[in-house]
Amino acid sequence: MNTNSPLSRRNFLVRGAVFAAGLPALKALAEETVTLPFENGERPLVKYPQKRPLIRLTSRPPQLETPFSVFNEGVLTPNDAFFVRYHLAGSPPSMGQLGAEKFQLNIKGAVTTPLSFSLEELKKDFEPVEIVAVNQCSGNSRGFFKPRVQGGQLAHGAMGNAKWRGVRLKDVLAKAGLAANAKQAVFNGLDKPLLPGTPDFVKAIDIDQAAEPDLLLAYEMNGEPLPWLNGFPLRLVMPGHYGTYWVKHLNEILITDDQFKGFWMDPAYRIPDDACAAIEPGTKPKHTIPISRFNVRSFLTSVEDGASLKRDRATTLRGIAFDGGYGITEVAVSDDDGRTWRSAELGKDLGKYSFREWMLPFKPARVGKLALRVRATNRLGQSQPMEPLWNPSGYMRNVVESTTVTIA
Amino acid sequence: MKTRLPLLAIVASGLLWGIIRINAADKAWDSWKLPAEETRLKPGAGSELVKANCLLCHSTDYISTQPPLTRDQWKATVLKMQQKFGAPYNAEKLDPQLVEYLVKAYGK
Repeated sequence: MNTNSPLSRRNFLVRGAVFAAGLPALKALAEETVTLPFENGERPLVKYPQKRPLIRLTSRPPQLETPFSVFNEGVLTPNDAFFVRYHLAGSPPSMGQLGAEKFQLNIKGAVTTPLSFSLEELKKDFEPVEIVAVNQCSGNSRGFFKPRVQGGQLAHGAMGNAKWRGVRLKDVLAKAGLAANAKQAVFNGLDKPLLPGTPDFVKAIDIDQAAEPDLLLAYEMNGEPLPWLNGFPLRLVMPGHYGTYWVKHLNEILITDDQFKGFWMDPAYRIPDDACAAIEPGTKPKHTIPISRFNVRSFLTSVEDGASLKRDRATTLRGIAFDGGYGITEVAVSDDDGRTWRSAELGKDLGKYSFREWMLPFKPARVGKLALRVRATNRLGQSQPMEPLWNPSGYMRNVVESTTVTIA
Repeated sequence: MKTRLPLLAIVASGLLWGIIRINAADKAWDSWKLPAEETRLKPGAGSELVKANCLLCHSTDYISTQPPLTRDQWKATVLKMQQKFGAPYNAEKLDPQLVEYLVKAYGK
């Protein structure tokens, strides 16, 4: 089964006649496509501003997926390869609308002093903090769900790991002063719907969550200003939590004295209210709760699905693992369908919210087909199931992934 | 004096060049555009209803990248777009022609 390599087939659809005529390459003459390993998985690779060609899921609003091979380039995902996910027709706001010099972040609602900050004021008035954290879309890997579910049909490329720099949300809220009856912090960005009937993309978290020190109002990603399509000039960074909370182009924080009820909190982005966020395939959940922390995931990145390895030739298997912020303590690999597991060596610890690199020497002894499975465990003892779990929204896939190789 | 003037000129032109470059960079930001969107739809009776009613808010790949959906799923999706996302159409009037097209072109 192919789960680790979206790039199972590459097509170079060159418009041959034009190419052969030798016309200057003023326009894109070739469109490269990839086929993700599930039904109806053909996608174009498209170049966007500040991005290398990425797997385009949708064009308006834009949703771009990172080619899986990028995750073998390093533990930090380069800005130009980082995935993009928008919800509303008016996305992204134009750079003219976002211009850093006119940008203001407004703090209002149940606060002692409503405040407004320019980007420079935020940088100047608060202590800067850096944190390495994975951002992952709730529906990452949705395309692998069986039975298939509606929604963005993604392979594994709607995740990325970056070093975020910004100021602590709690510091900014403390300056405004929370009212005694403050209940939730509600985040809104400059991306807007086109129609009056379309719900604006607004997300809410409880006030005690907003007080945790790891939540950042981030203006930099891997040492550069946030890319346009990743939330320039400011976004919420909520380490260990799904990307739906990481509101981009963030310009308003409203403190409410009651439970915020918006479409994107309810009914959208909800999971079955049980330990595994899973139900019997094809059924509907009785009770749901908002999606929140990542479960444990791990991937083999150094070998593509369908690759050939030589018998008796020593190689090093390599990959990444992460969880919701407790920290990865073990990664193990099985080459015998899960009967036996060997522990991998863990790479440098960049913090409990980061991808953790793993390495394992491997010398295949027999020729034939082989499935390499990788499974991670975190500090709480949480791990990954051997069989995939299912929910109707296609969220939180974290099955032990399997990569098939041929030993020759 | 003789040496100062060229020096000034060099400094001034350097500054000017810097200003022009910064402005040019700002201008470039302002003019960043997204690549052309996907507009292809499978041909068939009813495809014009998709163009008229769905593409105001999203490109065609929102439809074409879905796995093959059942009639009930497409019907529910058309209704959801009206009820949850404010699509300015009457789903009941559009159905069955729109749903019929979606099932034929992108269904099972």
